[in-house]
Amino acid sequence: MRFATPLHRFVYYVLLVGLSASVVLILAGSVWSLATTGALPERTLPATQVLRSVLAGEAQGLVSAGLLGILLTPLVAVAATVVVSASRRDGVGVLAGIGVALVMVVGLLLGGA
Amino acid sequence: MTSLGYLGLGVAAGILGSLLGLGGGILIVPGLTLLFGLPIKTAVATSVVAVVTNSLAGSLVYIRRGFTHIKLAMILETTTTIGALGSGLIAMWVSGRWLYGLFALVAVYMIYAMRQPPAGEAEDDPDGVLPAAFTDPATGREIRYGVRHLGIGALVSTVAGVLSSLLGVGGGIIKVPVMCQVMGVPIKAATATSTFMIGITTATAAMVYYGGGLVIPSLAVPVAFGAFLGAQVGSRLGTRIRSKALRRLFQLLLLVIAVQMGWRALGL
Repeated sequence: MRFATPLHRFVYYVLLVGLSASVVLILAGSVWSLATTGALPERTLPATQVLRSVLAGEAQGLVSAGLLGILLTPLVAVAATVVVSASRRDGVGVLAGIGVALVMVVGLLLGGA
Repeated sequence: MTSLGYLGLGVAAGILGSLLGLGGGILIVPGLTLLFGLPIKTAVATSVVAVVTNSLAGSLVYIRRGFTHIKLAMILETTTTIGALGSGLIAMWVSGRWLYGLFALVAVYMIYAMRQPPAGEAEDDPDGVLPAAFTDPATGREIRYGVRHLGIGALVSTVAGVLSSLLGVGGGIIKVPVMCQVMGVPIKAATATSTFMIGITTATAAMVYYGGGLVIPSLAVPVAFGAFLGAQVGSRLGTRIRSKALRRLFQLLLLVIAVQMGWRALGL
């Protein structure tokens, strides 16, 4: 597949992997939850508890991991732009990407997700 | 049965949003509050998850075609995300009546903004900063352009960030016209860049909502999935439906939504 620039290629694959993995997790958790309880989970888990819950095969953990995955994919895409900009010695791109990533991380911490 | 209702709302919002070039949030929030009786903060938190999902899916298509100006998006996002984060925190504390009122005002603005289709393309104009190019698949022609008035773009994007975070709408209807008519970005590049930005902006706010426990999987999953499916259908229907008639219908729907939301803001 041809892309306009290396930056476009890198960001495209980050979004593709992030979205696909998140959708798989949400679908798996939803099907599991419907099969065991007859309904979808009513609450998400805090980020600190998600990994343990996923490893235990709990539906709520799988759905929470998928939802978090969707929300974190843009952050990973921003980080990807920083890496590609740095490799091309693009100072403006690096600074802008770091600035955006910092605000997103603050959002993550303030939200206590 | 309620999950099917949420799914149906998501599909309808996705189809209409895609046909009109909007995020589904402008329909999801009033749908959840007016049809299903949910609190507006829960509706906004649900909507932002759907908006991020649709932005990611749309960006995949646009980035592959080379339409998205990623560097411009990053520069504008430096101020947009600050607006989104600030208003996301404010939204946790502000009264629901204020949100209903603000939503009614935004719906009225959208009725006004949709009077005419987007115009004012500035193609093949490489003046300005951040030069970029893409090949238009409709004509096979390479379009080169530069970006002008970056400061105005940053200011407008901040406002869009505040609104998207407070109300769960994408903000594309504010950003795309300014990118086209003020910043000299061609319409395809503006739409693609705005779509990519919306995912970043809305995810920033969504993290705050997720941490606050407002993202409810039994709501967010069917609505987001429905909106995603609807957007795929809408993008295929787009070429067969008369956009002028659709715009008029949507303006009428927005008028009903504005009245209903305004009614609630006044506590009537």
